[in-house]
Amino acid sequence: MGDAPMPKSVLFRMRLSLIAAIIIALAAPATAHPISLTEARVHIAGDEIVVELDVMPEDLVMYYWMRPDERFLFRRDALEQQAEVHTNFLLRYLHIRGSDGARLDGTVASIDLRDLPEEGVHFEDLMAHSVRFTLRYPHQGPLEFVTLSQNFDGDDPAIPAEMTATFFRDGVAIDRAFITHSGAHTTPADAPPIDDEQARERSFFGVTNYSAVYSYIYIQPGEIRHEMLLPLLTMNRFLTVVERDAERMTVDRQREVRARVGEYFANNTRVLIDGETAEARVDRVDFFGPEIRDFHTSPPEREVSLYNARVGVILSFPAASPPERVEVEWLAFPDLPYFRSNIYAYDEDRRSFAFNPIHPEFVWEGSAPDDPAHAAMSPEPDAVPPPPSRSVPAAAIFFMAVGAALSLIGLKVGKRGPRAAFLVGGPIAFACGGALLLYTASPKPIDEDHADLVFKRLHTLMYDALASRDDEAVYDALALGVSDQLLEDLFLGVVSNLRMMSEAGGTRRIDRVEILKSELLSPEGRSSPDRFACRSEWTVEGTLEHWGHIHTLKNRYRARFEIRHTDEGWRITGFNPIAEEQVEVHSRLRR
Amino acid sequence: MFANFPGRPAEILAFAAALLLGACAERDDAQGRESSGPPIVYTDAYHLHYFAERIGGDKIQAAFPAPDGLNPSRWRPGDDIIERYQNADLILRSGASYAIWTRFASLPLARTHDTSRAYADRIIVIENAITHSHGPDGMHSHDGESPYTWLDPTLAIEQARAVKTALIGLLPENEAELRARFETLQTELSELDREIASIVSDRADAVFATSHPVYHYFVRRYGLDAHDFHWEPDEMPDAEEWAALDALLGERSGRIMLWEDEVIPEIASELRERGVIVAVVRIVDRRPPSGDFVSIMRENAESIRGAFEAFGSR
Repeated sequence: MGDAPMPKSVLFRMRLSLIAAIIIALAAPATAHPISLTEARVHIAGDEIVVELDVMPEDLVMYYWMRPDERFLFRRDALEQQAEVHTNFLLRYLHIRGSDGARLDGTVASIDLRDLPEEGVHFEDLMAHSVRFTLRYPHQGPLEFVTLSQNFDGDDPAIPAEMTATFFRDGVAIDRAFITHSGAHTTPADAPPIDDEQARERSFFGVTNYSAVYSYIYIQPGEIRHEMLLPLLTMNRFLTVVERDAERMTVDRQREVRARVGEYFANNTRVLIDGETAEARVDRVDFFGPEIRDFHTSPPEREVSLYNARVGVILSFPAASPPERVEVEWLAFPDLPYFRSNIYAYDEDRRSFAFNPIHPEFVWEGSAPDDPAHAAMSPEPDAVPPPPSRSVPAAAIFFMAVGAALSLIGLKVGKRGPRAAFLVGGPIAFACGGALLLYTASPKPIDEDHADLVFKRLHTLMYDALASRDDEAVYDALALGVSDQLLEDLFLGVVSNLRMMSEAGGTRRIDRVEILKSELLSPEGRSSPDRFACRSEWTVEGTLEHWGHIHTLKNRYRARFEIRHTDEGWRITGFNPIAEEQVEVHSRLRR
Repeated sequence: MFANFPGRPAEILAFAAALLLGACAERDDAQGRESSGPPIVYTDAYHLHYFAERIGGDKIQAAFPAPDGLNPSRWRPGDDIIERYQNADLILRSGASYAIWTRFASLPLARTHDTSRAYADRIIVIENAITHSHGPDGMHSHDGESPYTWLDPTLAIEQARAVKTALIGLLPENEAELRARFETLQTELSELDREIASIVSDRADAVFATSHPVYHYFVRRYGLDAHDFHWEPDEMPDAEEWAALDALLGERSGRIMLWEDEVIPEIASELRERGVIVAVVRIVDRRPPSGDFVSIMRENAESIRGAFEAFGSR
């Protein structure tokens, strides 16, 4: 027979003693507690924010070195006493901020201990119960944004204190967040309910979380573009741009650090295009306040809060030819240890990649499709017929020759009757031939079908120029359809607009150009087969894509064109816009 | 360059402009008119046409091609007419969202003057206006900027001043003459303003309603507190609308209602029964069959005087 087994109760008691000893031994200054897990419900109302915060008794035990009694129970009255003390801690380390990022002053309205058993909480159940604190943060007028941050591990950043927060408006949950040590989460007070995914996507253009890092990589014929959006608070942990103890970032400070931020991201993003290292170009570094939801363009410069601002960085890597193999590597681990990127290669569906220390590199291989802009519009190169030629008809020559011959014969014929017939018939035949010659060789206005063909071709060539990627190519493309002063004017206009779009980042594309009607105008005294004027109405559909979503525009235009046959062929020489109407504009997420 | 995408981000504007190949407005602006003769001045509103004629006299050719029977604010000119505007030496716009077509037309910036610019901060914006229908204009709403600024004579003077400045730019050699004509017009409009103010003074509550939301500037200028209906002088309101008027009459002591024109006898009879006095204040937005802007505005003042006298005699 072996040793009799120890009774279960004894074993249990020994285990408890051991755990209690460990707990007590580990009980240290408040800054070294193991972990704090709290749950907050943030109710946003017109004049105050009410936070219901559930704190586990474990926090009270850890923070205030509470000791259990001999039954390993923490007495209810003792917990109540420490909960009272804990209110100061909460007011100090739980921060609610308004739209401008400034802290709101709060008060503790109540402490609810109903979840605690009357006999106290057994130390094994310290995480099974909670004490509910209700805190009130009054504010003036409605708030557009609410930011919640917590630092419940005091001043020790090594050990995370984690909070799950749910935001409510009129009792409806509008946002949920997981907030770690010194983290902050911003929510717009008008956010749609969290169970209405479509409304949220519409409202936030796909960027629904103010606390997350967003990354979009576009693989396009002329470049690779990386758009990154991250909370300023997150970036400030590894790239200090906001001074210590400062809560706001001035415009001057933004200007001062912009280049450094761009350089940091450029240096830490390695891109190979078809095996060759591509040089990073910093297109934009912007500091966005919480009100910015569509990051289409540089925001107006203004001071931002460390707690609710975001940083947008756009890098581009020019490609000499449409990339077929792209490698993107994030080098800055552990600064930014993990982020998920949405990758859009040409027109392929979105794919996702999580950059992390184990998988720091994303590789894409594929083939570039035909340039959709060119594919959509370009007909065969020499489809424009030349102006009608002024050919001399053989019939006219024949009549004139016969007339001349008859006249000569008439002069030599002696008999009166035939002589008269020759001398009358000859000049008549000559005159008829001459008249026919004059009629056929005189310049005539171009006919409508011919003009229509010419115009459509030139119109297409004009729009083809928009698909070109550098100034020289734009000029060359325009010169195929435009000449004279108009060529210079259009070139400057197009290049200026394309540059503006390039600075703003984003991929733009003309998807469809449709001529609705064109009307040949009366030549106004300039009757000629090699020049004409027409008035046309057409629509243009285009897309502009960035930050994971697409803007689609459709505009209708009316304009008057003047067209002339030059030494180089048909060219548009005059262009007078008459009217422009927006037919359609909408935004959608790219799937 | 086109510039009518309110609220659109600059990037999308640039793209929209690129869709039109970066239209070459600058060159167009620099182009002069080829024909000789007095400069041609086009306007998008009748009162500006009148001001241009009064100030420019025979030194200019003023043109206002909107057909008489149509509302110039909602009229859509054809391409021929837009091209005539484009070829004018000067284009005067009333601003405050008047003449909707100018939002879509490509007008040369350098030759186009918004005469409301001097009082841009005083333009009234109406929010959440109801959509309604009457006459040939179809469904429309009076949401957004209220366009009938000239019904406040002080703003009309500002517009006339803008016309004068633009004409001096066009005809610097005639500056003295243009200034003198403007001053005459200014005097007439100031007198008109004083006259209306003297009629209304201390009895602003006598006006309780307007037939249409077109009097915002007039109402503000003279301190009135009038409720806007959406009634037409030649369309009998339905029972619900009359009930709304009755409810308002129950709340207000005033009995004068401003109308854009003489009302049909059926409406007049209903109004009379309720003790409502009609004051005809024409908005002078199109060329009148007889008279001109100032004479019609004087008639407006007389109508207001008559209404106030009738109200006072009760």
